[in-house]
Amino acid sequence: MRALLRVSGELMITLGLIVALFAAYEIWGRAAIVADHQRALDAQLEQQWAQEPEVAPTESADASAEPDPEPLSVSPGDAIGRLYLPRLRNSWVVVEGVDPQHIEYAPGHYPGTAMPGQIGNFSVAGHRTPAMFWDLDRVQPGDVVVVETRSRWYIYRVTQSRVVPPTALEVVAPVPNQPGVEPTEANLTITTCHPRWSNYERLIVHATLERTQASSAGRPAELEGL
Amino acid sequence: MYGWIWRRLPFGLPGKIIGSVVLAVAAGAILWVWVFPTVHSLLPFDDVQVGPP
Repeated sequence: MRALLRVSGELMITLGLIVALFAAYEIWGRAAIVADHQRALDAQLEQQWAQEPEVAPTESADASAEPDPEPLSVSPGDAIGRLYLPRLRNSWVVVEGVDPQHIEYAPGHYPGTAMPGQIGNFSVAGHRTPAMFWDLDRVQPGDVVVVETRSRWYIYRVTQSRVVPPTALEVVAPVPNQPGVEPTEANLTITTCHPRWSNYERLIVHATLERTQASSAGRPAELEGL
Repeated sequence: MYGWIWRRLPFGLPGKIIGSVVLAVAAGAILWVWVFPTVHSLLPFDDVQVGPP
C-alpha cells in the first residue's frame, strides 16, 4: 500500500514536471524554431530579390503613385515579402498559403487575395504564438503596418481591430466585411487565433494603404527604431 | 520508482549522481525533440485562418 502510494505520487510529480517542460517548449522552444526558419526564409527572400529581373523597366515621374506589378505567379510556400508591425517591434517574412504546413513558421498570405499594395485586400494569417502574433491585440487603430516587397514599401494605417467567429470569411473579402463589393482601396487584413492558446474565435486587424515608396528610397520613416 | 532506479545506478555516490543527471537529460531531450513536436501538432493552436465552416 505504502509503495503503491509512493509510486503514484512520483508519477504525478513527474507528470507535472513534463507539463511544465511542455509549456516551456511552447513558449521558448517554438520561438527558437520559428526564428530559425525565419532566418532561412529571409535568406531565401534576399536571394530571390537579387535574382529577379527588374519588373518596371522605366521609372517615370508617376511611378511613385502607381505600384509596380509584383510577380504574378507565386507557389504555396514561397516567401513573398516582409511584414513589419512597429507597435510589436517585430517583423516576419510572409509566405504564400494558409495551410498548416505553410504557416507553421511564418505568417501566410491567403491565396487569391490581393498582393501587397494592390487594390483589394492583402490578407495574412499567423499563429498567436509568442514568436508571432501573440500581442496582436495591442495593435490599435492608427498604428502603422508596413509591407516590404522586392521593389516597394507599402505603409498601411490600421483602421479596425476586432474579434470574429472562425467562419467570418467576409473579413478577407476585397472590401473587408462587404463581400461582393468592388474594391477601390488597397486594404490589409491580419487574422490570428483568439483567445491565446485557443481557436474558438479569430482576432482581426484591418488596415488601409496610406502611401508607398520605392525600395531605392530606403526604409520608410515609420520603421525608425525598429 | 525513483528509489528503485537510484539503488540500481552503479559506481557509488558520484556514479549515482552522474547517472541520474544523464537519465534526466535524456528523458528531457526525448520529450523536447520527439514528443512535444508531435503533441504540438495535435493541439488547436494552429487554427488561425478564417474559413468556411
